[in-house]
Amino acid sequence: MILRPGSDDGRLPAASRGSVDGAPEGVLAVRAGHGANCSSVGSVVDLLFAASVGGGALLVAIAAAFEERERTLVEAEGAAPPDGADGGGPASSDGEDPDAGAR
Amino acid sequence: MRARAEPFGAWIRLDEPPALVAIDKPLARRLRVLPDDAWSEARLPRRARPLEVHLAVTERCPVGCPGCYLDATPGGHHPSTEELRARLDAIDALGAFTVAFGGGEPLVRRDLDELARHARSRGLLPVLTTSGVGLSPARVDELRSFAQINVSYDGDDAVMIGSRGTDARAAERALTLLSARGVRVGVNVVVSRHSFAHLETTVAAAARLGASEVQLLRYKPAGRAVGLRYLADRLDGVQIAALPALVRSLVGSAGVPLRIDCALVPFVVDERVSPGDLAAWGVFGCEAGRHLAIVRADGAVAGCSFASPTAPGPLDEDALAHPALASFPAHADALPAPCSDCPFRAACRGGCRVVAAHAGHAADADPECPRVVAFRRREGSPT
Repeated sequence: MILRPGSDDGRLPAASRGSVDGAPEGVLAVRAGHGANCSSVGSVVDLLFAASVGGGALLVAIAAAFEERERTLVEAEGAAPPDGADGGGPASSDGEDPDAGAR
Repeated sequence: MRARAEPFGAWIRLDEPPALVAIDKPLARRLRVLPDDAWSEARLPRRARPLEVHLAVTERCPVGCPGCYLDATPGGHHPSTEELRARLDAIDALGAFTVAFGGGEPLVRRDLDELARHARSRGLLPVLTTSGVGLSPARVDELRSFAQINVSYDGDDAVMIGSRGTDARAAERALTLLSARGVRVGVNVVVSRHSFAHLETTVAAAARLGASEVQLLRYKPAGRAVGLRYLADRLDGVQIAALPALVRSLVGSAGVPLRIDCALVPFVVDERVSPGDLAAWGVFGCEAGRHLAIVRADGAVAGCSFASPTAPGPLDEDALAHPALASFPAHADALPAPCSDCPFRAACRGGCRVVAAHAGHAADADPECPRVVAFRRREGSPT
């Protein structure tokens, strides 16, 4: 279970080395929080300098969120016949458009 | 769960825990966050699109900070509600995840709740930055649609008077009001020559007043903070050299998560952190025109809040291709020396272009980066 720095088409930064243990397989990068500043993009540095604490907890929470989604998908499949391509998953709890994911 | 297809897989936004996560295609398919044809050539965008957009909802501000990066005034441009709704629709159409309301002072508007709800209805996560001036208990209740509110707070009265020309009362009252009423609140601290010495007490005070995170922002030359004012107020070399240790100390002691802005990356990273960890934890350096775009109050579009060149609105694929935005990621693809050989180039992307432009030319290396300063000293170039 390794968090791998991504490198693809300039969308994620190429990085020569480094990894963070504890992330679900397939996770390439994590930006914590909401990014609430109106002038610059911010990155939480606790995760870099104290990764064994805050970073580990965040990765565990992300893994739990993914497991919950997979469990929900399996249960939905068991409850209803498949109807083709998924439209982006269930609506989020804050009332977003269910199709908002397909962008 | 909002998701956006990318060549590598997808970006997804989690509400709990609050995070943006880049995942590869196999995981994206397993989680079924997007339809199967999301990665078809016809549907994948031609260039990187913003994860976060900053929306200036007004240029008006009653405070008049001497170092305001926008040169905001009480009589600045003030777009209508309908104009801002249309801009939010355009931001949504690009697939951004977060929209950060700023100004000027956003609280001069009475339609913030309506606009935040509109952003939510489109799947965007609205957040807001304020000086706190004009905030009352009733107004706090109008701001509950925002996922987080950040208050500009550089320190106690002496620091705030030096940096913003006003005391700390409004900011401290806003922090107390927001946190007491259950609104997630953060603090923006501009790290300048004057605020630097007070950072530990400022961060501690922010935590005591209820802040759930503190973001440190590099002081940048824009708006009223240009020329001699910028040179007098920016961090000096000794402070820059001391910053990595100070940030590490704050991480261990502040009791509140600490965030740095993209322009501080060249000051804070050193050999104790690996480039791979920086990338994995989403420290991408200069984000302008790539993961970040700006919609100004007059509707013009820019790569960064501090950058002068603008493209005509609306914010769309054409605007992203305009040199005012596209020149930023292009610069990172062809960095000048010494950035071209720097081990942190992927996570820093050449430092701050706005600072480089103020010093002479935007295509040059960030002249305040300690590695650039050392390189130029070795080469005998002017620093």
